[in-house]
Amino acid sequence: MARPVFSSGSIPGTQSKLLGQAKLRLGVVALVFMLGYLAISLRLVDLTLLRDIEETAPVTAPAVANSAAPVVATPKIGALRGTIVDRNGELMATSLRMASVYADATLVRDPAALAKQLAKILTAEKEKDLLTKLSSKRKFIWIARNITPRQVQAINTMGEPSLSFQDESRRIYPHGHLTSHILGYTDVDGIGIAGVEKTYQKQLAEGEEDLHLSIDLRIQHLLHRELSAAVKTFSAKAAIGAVMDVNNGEIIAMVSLPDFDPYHPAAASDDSKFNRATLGVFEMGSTMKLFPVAAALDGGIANFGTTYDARQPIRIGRHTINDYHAEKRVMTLTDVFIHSSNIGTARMAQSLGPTGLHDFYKKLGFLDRAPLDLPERGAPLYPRPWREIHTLTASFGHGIAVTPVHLLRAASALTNGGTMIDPSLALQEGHKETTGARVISEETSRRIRDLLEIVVVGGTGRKAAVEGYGVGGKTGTADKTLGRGYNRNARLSSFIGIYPIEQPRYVVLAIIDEPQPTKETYGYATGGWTAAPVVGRVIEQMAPLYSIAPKAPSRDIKAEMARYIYDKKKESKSVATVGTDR
Amino acid sequence: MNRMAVLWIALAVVAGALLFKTSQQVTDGRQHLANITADIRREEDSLRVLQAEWSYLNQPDRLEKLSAQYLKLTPMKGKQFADTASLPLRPVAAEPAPTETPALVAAITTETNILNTTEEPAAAAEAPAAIAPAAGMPAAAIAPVPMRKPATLKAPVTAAAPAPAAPKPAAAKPAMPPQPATPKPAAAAATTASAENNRSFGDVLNSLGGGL
Repeated sequence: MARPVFSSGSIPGTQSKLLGQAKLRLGVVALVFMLGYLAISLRLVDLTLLRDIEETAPVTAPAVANSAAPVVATPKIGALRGTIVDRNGELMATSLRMASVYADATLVRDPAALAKQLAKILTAEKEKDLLTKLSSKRKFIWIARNITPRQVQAINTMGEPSLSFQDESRRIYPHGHLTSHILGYTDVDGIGIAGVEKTYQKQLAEGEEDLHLSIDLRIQHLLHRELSAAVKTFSAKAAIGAVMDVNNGEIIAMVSLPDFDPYHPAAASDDSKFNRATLGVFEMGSTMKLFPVAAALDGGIANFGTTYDARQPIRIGRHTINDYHAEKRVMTLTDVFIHSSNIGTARMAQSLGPTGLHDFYKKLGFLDRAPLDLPERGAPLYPRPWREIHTLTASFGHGIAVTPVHLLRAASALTNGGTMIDPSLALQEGHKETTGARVISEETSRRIRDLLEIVVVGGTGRKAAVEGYGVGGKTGTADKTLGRGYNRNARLSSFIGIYPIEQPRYVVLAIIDEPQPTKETYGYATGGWTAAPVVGRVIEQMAPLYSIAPKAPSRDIKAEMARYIYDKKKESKSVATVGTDR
Repeated sequence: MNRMAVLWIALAVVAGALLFKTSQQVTDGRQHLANITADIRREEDSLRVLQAEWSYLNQPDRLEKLSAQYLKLTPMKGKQFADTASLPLRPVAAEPAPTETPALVAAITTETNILNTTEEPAAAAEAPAAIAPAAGMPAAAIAPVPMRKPATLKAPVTAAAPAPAAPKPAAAKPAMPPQPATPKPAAAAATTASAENNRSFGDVLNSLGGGL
């Protein structure tokens, strides 16, 4: 057999030599193969028996990522747009995978019968339209987009071979109108084109983390309800409201009425899509008087008792500055603020010097867009160049138009101890501290709070008072501009409230656009009668939710301030000062 | 040699079989993984649907209506709060108690009563009735205070201290079982809510205009 052939001993000479050589070569080749197989089997044993799956994964992952096998390499499952939640984790917006149904019309045998069946399931579609689609003889035609799981099941049960489904995602806003302007909306491709959906488009598109907003849906609802009620009561055109933390600028609630359903942005009118709270600029009227007063107090050129001559209207050029309910006397700063005297405030602004008020408004951010994480931010309107007359009119809120966010921000800065804050909608990690620029001293901030408190305790803002909670605030009623003049019958009534006034935590703003007087308000449609009650009711319901303990007033602010307040009140105490808030 | 060849062939066959088995396992594993991935995706999708539905059902507006219909709770008001320091001290009882314990128990019971009732959002009908004896304590306390078995204090204390007067369940009936901390704001009419309650998420989507 083979054995003698390969044995070296049997064939002598050169043959043997050749054979030896061949044998050696064969041996080398065999050795190489053996080593090769050995290596492969060792590797196999290593991979299959010795290693855990987790260990092998990183080895294979890069290779798989390049190849077309997505099974192992998918980092996350089904990338849907990220969800938006409120500060308590309550869902505000999410994306759902929804099925869309399409038909291969060439396979439809009885279009009429099928259309009838489908119309029963897809209540939003008309039978006639369905019939047209089904008898179109096209290979692919959409029947309905984003249908519910229940409808999918019903269609599946029909067992119609010409119908098929395709998965699509759809943005859902479970709270509908409630947060429409804050959230904004997405386009058909799921890309945010308004509100925080736009601001945080990148983060949301990645879909990995929830977006936490500083909004509290409970407070948002309170505000929405109270404002809607006010709009109804006073047959108003629109309304704006907001609640903000005065210490860190977190917006707790923000409402702009009319609003819309973000699920159907296309169906909403431009007016209802307009975010009045951040994009709309308004001449705020008397509410702005807070700021020249703060400037005068902080600049050390005035105190509570400083007097201003309000006996005569001020005439500059062709302008006349008058008071709505003229007191026609020399008034203290406190009186000017309480009675909201235009003349007095104008004189106060004059005493600040030609650029004093302008510079103070600049510091308070009234002359620039307010920082906020929304794409809809209105640019303020103010006179350029700024002349003397503008100092006078801007002191009582005429000739300068700012957004409600500007007002919230500046009022917060004046009452929180004197530092600017940046309003924000996204909840910050950890606690956000006030580190903004100082605009007034702590001492001035305390005095401003005294003035705001007296307005609510004994002035135009009495309707905002809440038992157990010290509230401070300022009313405002501005005639709306009409062309180049003012319309006496179209007003913007507002109230900005701050509480607890001893140690402010929240600022609450309500603005009612064109309220009509009612019998209950004795013919008044001013800020004190329309907006102040809204703020009062919001505070009353919000404070217990935020565990703010009620307490009796620690002092009698009226008695403390009495010496700065004109004595006429004593004679006509029953005749309220309410309603004179021009 | 023969034996060697057989051995090698056998080894090759075994190796081949093993390889085939492994490759089958990998295929099965892949399939399994794909199934699980699909399952997870489905679960995540339904989670999202459920979360959306939960959020929809928790619309403050809807809760408000339901609360008005079933709970008779109204929002808390500042004046409904009281702190322990503002409570009057219990006057010394006319009839000296056998030990210190009954008085203490009574005091604790009434105090817990007061705290419970005052911190509660006032229940429309029952609360005033329940607060009245507690608030008017000085008057009631001249005669030994009618005691109710404290729900929180257990047998050892009550057994050691027989109640001075027979418990009057009607008078000392607690206003309501304590509710979860968050009050449900309730103001609107309670009439239209029942139709809302039976709505399911499918209907919701329909009402939103599911078939765009």
